[in-house]
Amino acid sequence: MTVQTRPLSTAGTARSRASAARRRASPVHRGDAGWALLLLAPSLVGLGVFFIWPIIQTFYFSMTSWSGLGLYEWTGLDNYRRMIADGEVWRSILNTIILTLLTLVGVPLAVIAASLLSRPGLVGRSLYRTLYFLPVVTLPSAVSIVWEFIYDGDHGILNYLLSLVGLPGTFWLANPDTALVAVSVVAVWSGFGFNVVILLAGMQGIPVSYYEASELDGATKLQQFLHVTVPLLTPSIFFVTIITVINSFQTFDLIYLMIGKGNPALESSQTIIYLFYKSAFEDFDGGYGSALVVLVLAIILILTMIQFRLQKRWVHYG
Amino acid sequence: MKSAKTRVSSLLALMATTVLLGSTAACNSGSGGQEGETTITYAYWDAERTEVTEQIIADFNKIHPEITVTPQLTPYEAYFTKLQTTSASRTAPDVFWLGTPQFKFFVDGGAVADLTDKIKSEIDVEDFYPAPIADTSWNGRQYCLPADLSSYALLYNKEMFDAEGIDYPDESWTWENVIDAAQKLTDSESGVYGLDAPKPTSNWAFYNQILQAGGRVLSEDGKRSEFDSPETIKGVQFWTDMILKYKASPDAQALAKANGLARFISGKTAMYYGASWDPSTVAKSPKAVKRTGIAVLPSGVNRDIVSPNVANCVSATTKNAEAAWEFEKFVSSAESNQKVGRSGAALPARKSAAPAFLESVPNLDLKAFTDQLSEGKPYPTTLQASKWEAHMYAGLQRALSGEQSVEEACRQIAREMDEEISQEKSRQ
Repeated sequence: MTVQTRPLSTAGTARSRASAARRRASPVHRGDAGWALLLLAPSLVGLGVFFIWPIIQTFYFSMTSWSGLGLYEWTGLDNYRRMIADGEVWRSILNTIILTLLTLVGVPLAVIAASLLSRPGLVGRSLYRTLYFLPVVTLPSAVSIVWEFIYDGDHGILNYLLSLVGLPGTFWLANPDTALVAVSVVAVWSGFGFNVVILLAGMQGIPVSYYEASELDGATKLQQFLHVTVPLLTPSIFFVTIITVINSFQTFDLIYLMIGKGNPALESSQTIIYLFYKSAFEDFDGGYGSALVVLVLAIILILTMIQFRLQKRWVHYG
Repeated sequence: MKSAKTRVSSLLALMATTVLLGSTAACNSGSGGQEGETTITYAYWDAERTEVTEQIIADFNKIHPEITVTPQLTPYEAYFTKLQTTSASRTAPDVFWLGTPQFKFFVDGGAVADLTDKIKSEIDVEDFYPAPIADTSWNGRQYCLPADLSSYALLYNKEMFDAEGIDYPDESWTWENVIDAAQKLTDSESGVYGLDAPKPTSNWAFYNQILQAGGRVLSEDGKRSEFDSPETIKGVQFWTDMILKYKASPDAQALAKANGLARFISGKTAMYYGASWDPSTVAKSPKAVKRTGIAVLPSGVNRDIVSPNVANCVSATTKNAEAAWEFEKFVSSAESNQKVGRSGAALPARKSAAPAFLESVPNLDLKAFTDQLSEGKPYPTTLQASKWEAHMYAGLQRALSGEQSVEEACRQIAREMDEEISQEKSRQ
């Protein structure tokens, strides 16, 4: 692989040098570049106005003391210094990591569910697929309200079911010990269908011949699952894992809707994005909020880089 | 060669302009309308006010058919977030509600129009209660006109008092009486409590008890926290004791998801420290009206309350300043105040509208709320109160859940408040 890359890339540079020379020679190609730019312009403008410019502004405001309204003042790295000393920030990062790890439990579960769903001859397959996908298309606010009923401490169905087997219930979403786990369960549940669909599509790409060959060799269904399905599914599993990690790191709606302001469990369950929202839009501390969101950006960048590095060890592309 | 380049760049410029124009057009489409017609938006946060607000707008249109007023309801939890972002992007509603706790923040941020001269020449300020007029002015300028006031009283369930053979609360009641009754009325086995403690985010419930214990949240000059004074601690302790010592209230976890007023209406709690906008909700349940009594708050060393107001303000960035002022004048008129009073949705800020409020809920005597008004004290707020309020909520949470003693929690709150207040700076 590496042996091949080098000549290829030198060839590439040689070609581009040649084309650069040609471009200098003929003015027609300059016009081509112009057209390319022109056709790209709408999306470039959109990208610039709605993504790049806000990111630059966020960096800038993270160095200021700004309430989000009116004048602001340049304070350099003050917000970052304060962030490092702020226990609430570290606690919320820890919460986010725990939430992410708990949500990742959903990935192997989705692999099992997908392989069961793709079993040939399964009755009511499309019904199951629809049912699994339903939470994905349901509004987070509706999901939250339903789960709040389930978790309710006074007349929730979960406490009722527990009482049937003689176990004590609790205020699942207000108890600092249980709130984060309770929210994670909802996160797994509502992301499950998406993962299953991606994995099902991945399974369709596995040639039947592998299964036939392994069957001839006398492999059991379980062995087929472990040694054919899972290895050949790793690109899809990798994709699902990255999406799950990024989504979990950006969890906000579930915390806002199910835990919320004035909840005793808030400190032990708030995510870093919720803390950002609280700082910027509830405490009106725009500068500090910007600094927090820059931190989130850095963390997600690093995590994704690590994931891409690690994928070489376990992802098999066909 | 040069011409090709120019052509491309002018095309690019054209496309960029089209994109930008498209987006501005999209923004403006809401405020368009027929020629010669002005449309303004009016933002408020109380869903209970929707009916009376629509009625006021309809009456306004009888005099000003050329002005269309679009009411915009945003729930309180998200209201100030929205007001902050729309103010920053200069797209704030033309006329909007502002509460005393947030008044200084938005005025200092330049979001509120200065109405001093217009009010001086066109409004009879004498008809308003003096406290809210003072609370809506700053540095000698009058920014907004108060819409309604907050007052507080003790709501109690007569049937539950009768069952326990306890005399109904009256103005002779002190903290000892209410603590004693709360314990007697509690039957935690069946989930019934004497007096629900507030959530840590219910500022007023704590501020009232702090005042009644003889304490203060802020020093006289507003530059320092007095949260660690023994009197203030005693005020906070009233509520923490209700949960932790007397067990006459559900605990902090059970309260987190509960609605105190709904619990009172359904008979789950015998007493409730209610606000002046609560009776209109009680009125929806005839059964609850029949068994509800209202008394002034039981006194500590005094019977003081904070009395924050809701004010109608004009946006500093409105493009329809004239139309906005016309509506501001109308919505603040005695006539509109009386409509609000009659609906019972709030206690209006004009003295002449108080009788309408008192008669708003048949079979329920609301006089305790207006009686309490004479005990109204300034609401503790600073330039950026939301910053130290966040620390206060966290500290009160620790005290209510018993994670930290009241003394420690209050001392920590005072330290954190002082730190935040010392960094406050005007943004003008």
